[in-house]
Order: sequence, then C-alpha cells, then structure tokens
Amino acid sequence: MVELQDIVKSYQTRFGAYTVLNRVNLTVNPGDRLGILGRNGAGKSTLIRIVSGQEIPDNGTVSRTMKVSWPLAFSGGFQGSLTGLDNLRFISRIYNVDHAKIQDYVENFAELGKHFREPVRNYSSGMQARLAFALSLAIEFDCYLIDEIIAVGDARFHRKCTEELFERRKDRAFFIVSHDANFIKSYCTKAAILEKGHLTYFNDVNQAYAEYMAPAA
Amino acid sequence: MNKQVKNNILFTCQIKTQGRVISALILREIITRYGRHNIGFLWLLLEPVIFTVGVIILWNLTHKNHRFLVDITPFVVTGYSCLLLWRTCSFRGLKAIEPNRSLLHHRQVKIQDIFIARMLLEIAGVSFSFFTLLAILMFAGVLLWPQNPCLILFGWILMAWFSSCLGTILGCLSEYSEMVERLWHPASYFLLSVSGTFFMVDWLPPKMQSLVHWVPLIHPVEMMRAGYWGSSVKTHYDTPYMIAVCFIFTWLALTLMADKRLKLLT
Repeated sequence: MVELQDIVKSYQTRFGAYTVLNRVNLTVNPGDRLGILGRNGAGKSTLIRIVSGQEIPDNGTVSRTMKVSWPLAFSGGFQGSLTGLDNLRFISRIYNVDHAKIQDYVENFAELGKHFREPVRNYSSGMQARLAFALSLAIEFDCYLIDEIIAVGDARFHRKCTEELFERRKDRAFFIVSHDANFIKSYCTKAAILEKGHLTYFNDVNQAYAEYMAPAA
Repeated sequence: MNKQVKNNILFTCQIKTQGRVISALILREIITRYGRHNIGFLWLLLEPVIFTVGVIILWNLTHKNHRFLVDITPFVVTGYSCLLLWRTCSFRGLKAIEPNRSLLHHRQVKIQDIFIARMLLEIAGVSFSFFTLLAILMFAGVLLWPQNPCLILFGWILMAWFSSCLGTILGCLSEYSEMVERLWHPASYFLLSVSGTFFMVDWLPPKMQSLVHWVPLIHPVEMMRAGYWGSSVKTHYDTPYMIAVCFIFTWLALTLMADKRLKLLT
C-alpha cells in the first residue's frame, strides 16, 4: 500500500511561496489503478515525485509498504553520458538486481540494437522511453508510477507496452498522472482530478472523465 | 517484533542500500570520467603522480645552485600532495549535483550519496598515488624512512577529512549561486599562497606565523612534515584547532546537504 496523508508542498518563486499541493490525501492499494487528471501545471509531476519518494513534502506523511517504481516519464532516471548498458548496470546495482539476468530482456524489449552501447544522450526521446520502459519492466515492482509516458513510441511499441504492463502485470498497482482523459478512462479503475492543489475523487472513472471534459463553467 | 528490533533492522537495511548506491555512483563516475579506453581509471592514480613527480624534478632543477633550507623532495611531496587533495576535492565538489540530477529520480539516490561518492573517489585517487609515490621514492633511496609515519598518516587523514567537507560545502553553495564557482577560482589561488605548499611556517616572521595559524590547510601539511623530519626541523601545528575546524565543516556540510531545495535547484 502507498498512503499519502495531508501532503502540503510549495515552491519558492520570485513572487513568494506557491502552494502546489494543499492537504492532499491518497491511497494506492495493491491492484489499484488510480489515475490523476490535471491540466498542465496542476502539480501532477510534483505529486508523482512525492509518491515515488524523489521529493519530500513540506508537511504530511508518506508511507510505502510495496515496492514502488521510479516515475516513468519521457526522460529522467538516466545519466546521459553513460551508455544504455551502463545505465542498466547502474540501476541494477541500486535496486539490488543481478544485471546479467535482465540484460537480454532489456536489450530485446527496448529494440535499441547497437545503440544499446551508445551514450543515452544521443538517443531520441522515443528510444529513451523504450529503455526506461524495458528497465522498469525488468525490475519487478508492486506499483508502477507512470507520468504521461504511454504516448511515446510508435503504435506497435505502444501496444507491446500496454500488453506487458496492463495485461501481464494486471495484478500490480498503477498510479498514473495524465492530462489525457481518454487514456485515464481506458486504463484506470479509479480517478481523481487535481486542480488548484486539491484532489477531487469520483465514484467512477466515467464521472471524472465527464467532469474533466466539461467546458469550464 | 518490538519496535527497537524493527528499527535496527530498518537501519541496517538503509545502510546496505546506501552502500550499494554509493558504490554504484563511484563506478558510474569512473566510467563517465575515464571510460574504458586505454588504462581507464588508472588515470585517477596516475594523474597526481605525474603532477607531483613533475614538480619534484622542476624544483630540484631550479634550486640546484643555492642551498635550500630543507630537503626539496620530501618538502615538495608533502606540500603538493596536500595541495592536490584540497584542490581536486573542492573543484570536483563544485556543481557535483548537476550531472547526477537525473539519477535523483530513483528514491534510493540521495544528495549525500552523490557527494560521498565523489569525495571518496577523489580521496582514494590522491591517497593511493601519494602513498605509492612515498613507497617508490623510499625504495629508490630518495626519501628516508620517516621519523614518525603515524603523524604523516594522521595529517593526511585530517587533510582528507577537511577537503571532503570543503568540497561538499562548495558543491552545495554552487547550486545556489553561480558566483560561488566564479569566486572559488581566484580564492583558491589566493589560498594556494598561504597553504604551506611553498613554505614552512617557521620561515615566516612571527607576526605572519600567528596569521597563517588560522588557515586550516597549514596544519596537516606541517604535521606531515613533522612526521617526516621529526625534531630536526621546526614545525608549527595545532591539532585540536584542526580537529575543531573539521567538525565545524562537517556540521556545515551536513546541514547544507539536508536542504531539500537542493534537489530542485538548477
């Protein structure tokens, strides 16, 4: 289970403190698929970083009793001057996994060919996302955090990812943030909208979808 | 399970994770800096050796004709190794977070780990080359067996302790302001002239002696020279003062690293 209680997070700006999250509560149980909808700048990435433990909130508590992934996003989590393979070794060391065991899987899944031994900074964003995906699938997590990433890659790779994630790992928990209501609607079983630092929960995903898609009154 | 036992298990678990993260960061640093070409990470050890040997030769040549106050080689080896230690640590500390920022995506990686990894790597490199050089020069008969080897080692440890804190403090401050990096270049140049690399405290007039006493860099160098020559050469160092400075710098470094804004600043 992942539980956030009364999370407050603000950033210093030139205009003073800006509160991004204001007393946010959320729980992800094993097997949950929780989607958070929000416009650009609503604080989705901040929220996912707090869930992952990358950032520490100003106030409130975070408890994690399952193995939570790092947030899968367009980029990040890699060291640009290292090759894909060296990044794999680095991540295996951090997560205490034998890198020899997952190397073949990552190499096949990411479809990087000889680029696997090239520095990551030379990768296209699609290639980076494929590597990120392959790595996070090679290391087994109980809860996957996804930050908009699914849109990356061509249709075939996209299909492969959805299959690997949502079908073969359907027993796992997912925490997804996105501005794309259709995406949340098709993959999540629970949804909430993040707006002005507050999370609004809905009884079902369709209701959240309708609310999010409705023109601002 | 009672709470105490549970906390102990949690603590050992965290220590293990931190150990894994630090070693992973050191390995990644070695690969990015030296690659896998030619001698690879051996450059880490060879660089300081080449530097110090070059300076020894240069000094011996330039001071050949007039009598120097002490033996040139041990004077240069102790002075330049200490100089290398604090110079490399401080310059590697500057902007240390930036290239590692993307690795902070993994919750296991902490700001502290980045600095610990960097400083350990620098200290290991310079230390290894210093002690290898000492051994080679002694074997070759250029240096004698030191009067008090423990004092040399103790001075070196204090220097490493001080340098790693200095590097960490500068590294954290450089995240807040570009000025730190720009100012450190001239400041370190100035410090170089009072660091004891080029003189022994005893050679200075008494008034200057009491002034340079405040410079922490002086004490380990003097200590190491005292360790080499023993009582035949007069040295001035203040061990309690140096240890106190090290503790203050450690506290400063720990406080600065704990600032959670560091993770965000760019």
